[in-house]
Amino acid sequence: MQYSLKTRQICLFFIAFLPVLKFFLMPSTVARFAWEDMWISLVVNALLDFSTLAFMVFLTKHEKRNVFQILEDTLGKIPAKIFLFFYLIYFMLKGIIPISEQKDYVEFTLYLSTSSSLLFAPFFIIPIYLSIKKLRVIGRCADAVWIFAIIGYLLIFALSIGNVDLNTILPVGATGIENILKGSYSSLNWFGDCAYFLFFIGNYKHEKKDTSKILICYGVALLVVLIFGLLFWCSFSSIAFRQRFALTEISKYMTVINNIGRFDYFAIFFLLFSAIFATSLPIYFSVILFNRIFNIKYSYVAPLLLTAVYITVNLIFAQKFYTLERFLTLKIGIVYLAFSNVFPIVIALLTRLKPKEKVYEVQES
Amino acid sequence: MLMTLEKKLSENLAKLKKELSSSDVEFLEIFISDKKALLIYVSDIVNKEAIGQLILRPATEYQGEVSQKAVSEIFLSPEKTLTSDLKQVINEIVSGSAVLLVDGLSTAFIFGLKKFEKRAITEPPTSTVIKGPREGFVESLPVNVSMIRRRLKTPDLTFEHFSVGQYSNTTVALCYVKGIADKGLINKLRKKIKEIKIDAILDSSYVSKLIGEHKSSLFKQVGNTEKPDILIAKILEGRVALIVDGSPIALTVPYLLIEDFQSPSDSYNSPYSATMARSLRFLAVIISLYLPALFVSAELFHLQLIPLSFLLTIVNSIKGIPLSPSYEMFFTLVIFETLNEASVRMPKYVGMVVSIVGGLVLGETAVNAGIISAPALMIVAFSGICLYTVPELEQTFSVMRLAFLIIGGSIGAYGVIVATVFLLIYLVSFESFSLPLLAPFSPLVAKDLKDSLYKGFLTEQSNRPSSIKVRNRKRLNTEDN
Repeated sequence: MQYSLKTRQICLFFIAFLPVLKFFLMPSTVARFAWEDMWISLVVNALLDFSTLAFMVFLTKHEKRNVFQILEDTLGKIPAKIFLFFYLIYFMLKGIIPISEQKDYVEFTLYLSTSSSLLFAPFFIIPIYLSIKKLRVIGRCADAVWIFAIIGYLLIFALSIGNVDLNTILPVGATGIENILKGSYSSLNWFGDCAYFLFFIGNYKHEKKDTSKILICYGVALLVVLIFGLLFWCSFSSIAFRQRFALTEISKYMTVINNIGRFDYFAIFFLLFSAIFATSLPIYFSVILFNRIFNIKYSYVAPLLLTAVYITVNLIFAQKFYTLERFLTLKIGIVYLAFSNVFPIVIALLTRLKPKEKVYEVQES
Repeated sequence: MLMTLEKKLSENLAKLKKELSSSDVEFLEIFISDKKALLIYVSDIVNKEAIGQLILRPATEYQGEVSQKAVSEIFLSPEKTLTSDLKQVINEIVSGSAVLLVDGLSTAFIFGLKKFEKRAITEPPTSTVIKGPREGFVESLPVNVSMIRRRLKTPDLTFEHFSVGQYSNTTVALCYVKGIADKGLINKLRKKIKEIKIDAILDSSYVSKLIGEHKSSLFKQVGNTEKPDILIAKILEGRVALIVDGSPIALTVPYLLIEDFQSPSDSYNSPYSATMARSLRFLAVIISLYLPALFVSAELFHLQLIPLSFLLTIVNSIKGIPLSPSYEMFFTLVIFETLNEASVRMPKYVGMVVSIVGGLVLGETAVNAGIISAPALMIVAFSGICLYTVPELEQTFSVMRLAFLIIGGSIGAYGVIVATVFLLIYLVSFESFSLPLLAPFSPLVAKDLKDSLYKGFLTEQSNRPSSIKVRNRKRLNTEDN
C-alpha cells in the first residue's frame, strides 16, 4: 500500500508553511483592534486551530479513506460534491488575502526604485505548476523548505529582539474582552490552516506517537506566530498598527543594519521562499477540489482557470485592496470559522460512521 | 533470415567476399593436412603473432584426419567458439576475431585474438586526488573490467555484455554485484539497453542520454565516474554500472544529485575535512548560482541590501560605465563563458596565452577603459571559480546561472526567489529510475544524511543507503552493531 505522505512530511509542512503568511499584514490588523493584548487574540486563534487539529488527528488516525471517500460514503455522491463546492469557495477566499498582501509587499516594500504589478506576475507560475503535481510533491517540498523557514524565523527573531520592550504588553487584558475577540475575529482569514489536514486524512500511514508528533509540530508553528506577534507589538507598541508589513518593519532598526546594510533581507528572502509555497497552497487545494467535483484528471485546466480568477480579483481590487481586506477579515470571518474549525471536526466525526464491510485502498489525491 | 554456412568452402568464400569487401580484410588460404582452409581476419585489429602461434603453426604440423572434432582439438586458443551462422561470423571478423573455415565443414571456428591499440592507464583529469588510488578507466572495455575485477574478487560481481549500435556494434557491459543490486533495476536497464536503436555508440554519454527517462531535462539522470575505486564503491551501495567499450567514463544508475558534491578523495580523507570540503562545495555552488543575479538585483532594485560603504565603492566604480548593471554583468558572464570555452578547445600551448590575454589584458583593459566595472568582473570571476568546485555539474549550473541572471536583472530578487521555488518543485518531483533526484534531502532520508553534505565515520555507515533499493542492506559488521 503506497501512501502519498509520511507523518514527518505533515509535521514539516506545518512548520515550513504555516507561520510565514502571518508575518505580513496580520500583526498590524490584529494590533488595530487588540492593542497590547494582541498576543491574547493570537493565542485564542491558535488554541482554536490547535484544538480543531487535535480532534481531527485523534478521530481520523486509523482512517484509510480520504476526505472525498468519507463524504461520499456518508452524504452520497451529489451532496458530497455540493459540500466540496462550498469548500472550494472557502479555499478560493482563503487565498485572496495572502496573494494580494504579497503582491502589495513585493510592489511597494521590497522594491525601492520600481513599483509595478508586473514584478509580482511571475508568482502565478508557481501555483499553476505546483497544482499539476501530486500530494507527494507537497510533502517533498515541505522536506526541502523547512530548514530555510527555520533559518528565516531564527534570523528574524534574532534581529528584532534587540528593540523589544516586554513592559509594553502590561497590563494584561487592559483592552477588554471585546477588542481581544475583535482582534481574533479579524485574523481568522490567516488562521485555520488546520483545514489543510483534511487532504492528508487517509493519505499517510499512521504509526505510534504520530498524533503527538503532528500536534507538537503544529504547536511549534503556532508558537512561532505568537512569538512573532509578541516581538512585533513589543517593538512598536502603540504605533504597531501603522506598521503595515510587519515582516520588513520588525527588524529594520537593528543597529547592525546600519553597518552591513539590510542584512535582515536575507531572512526575509528565506521567508519569502517559504511564503510563495504557502500562498500557492489555497490554489493547490482548490484545484484538487475542482478536479474532484468536475471529475477532471490532473491537467492544466483547473490550475489555469483558478489562477485566472485570482489574477482577475487582483486586477479588479488593485486600487481597493483595503476595502477587500476589510470585507474578508471583518465581514465574513464566520465563514472561515465554519470551514476551518467546525466542518473539519464534523468530517472527522463522520469517519466514525464508516461502513464496516467496505475495504478501501489508499488513493492518491 | 538466418544465413548459414555451406559445406563448400568456395561458396562460403564468395558470400564472405561479397559482405567483406574492405581491403584490410585478409583471406588467407591454408591447408590442414590435405584439406583446404581459409583464415579470415581484419589485418590491423588482430594479434598476428598469436595467429602464427595458435593457428598457422598447428595447422601446418597436423597430419591426421580433418573433422570438426579434430579441428577443435588442434587449436588451443583460450577464446574459441563455433558457429554456423554467417552473420555472426561477419560480426566477429569486423570485431577483431580471426575465423577459420575448413572445406567440407559447415562450421566456422572463431578465435578471439583481438589486438587494439590502447592508451596507458593514467589518473583521470577530472578526478585527481591527493590521497587514494590514481588509476582511471581507459577506452578499452577489457582493461576496465580487469581494473574492477582486481579490486572485487567475488563471484557475485557480474558483467552482462550487450552489443549496441547498428554499425558500431559497441559492447556495453552491465556491471553489478549479485545479491546487492535490485533485480527490478537490472531488468529495467537490460530492457532499456536492448531498446536502443542507433547507428553507433561512440561514447558512454550516448547511452546515458538514451536510457534517461526525461529526454529534455537539463539535469543529469545517470551518474558517471572515471575511477574504478569510485565505481566499485557505487556498485557496492546497490547501484548498477554501465561500461561502454571505447569510453573511459563509466555510468552508474540510479543517480542522486548529491553524488556530484562528493569528491573521490572524500572517502580517503578524514570525515571532518570531507564534511568541510563538501559544505564548501555546496556553498560555492550556491554562491556561483546566485551571486551575479543577486548583485545585479541589489544594484537595480534593492539598494538597501548593500552596506553604505560598499555602495559608495560601487557607485564610484560604475560611474561612466555605458551599460546598465544587468547588461554589464550579462556581457561579462558571456566573455567569461567564451574564454572558458576557448581555453578548453585550444591547444595547451595556446591556452596559456588565452588565459593571459583573456584574464589579464582583456579584463584589466575593459575595466580601465570604463566598459565594465571592477566589482562586476570580480563577481563573475569568483562565480566562475566557485562553479568549478563541482566540475560534474558545471554545464548544468552555468546555464542556470545565466537564467537566474536574466531573471534577477529583469525583475529583481523576487523573480530569483520565484525561479528558485519553481526549480525546487521541478527537482523534488524529478525521479530517475524510481529514485528522487534530491534524496536524501527531499524526501528526507535521515539515515542517508550520514553520507551527504556531512561525511560520517566509516563505522557509522554500517548499512547501504536507504534511498537506493537493494537486496542486502548490511555492509559493515562492527562490534557495536
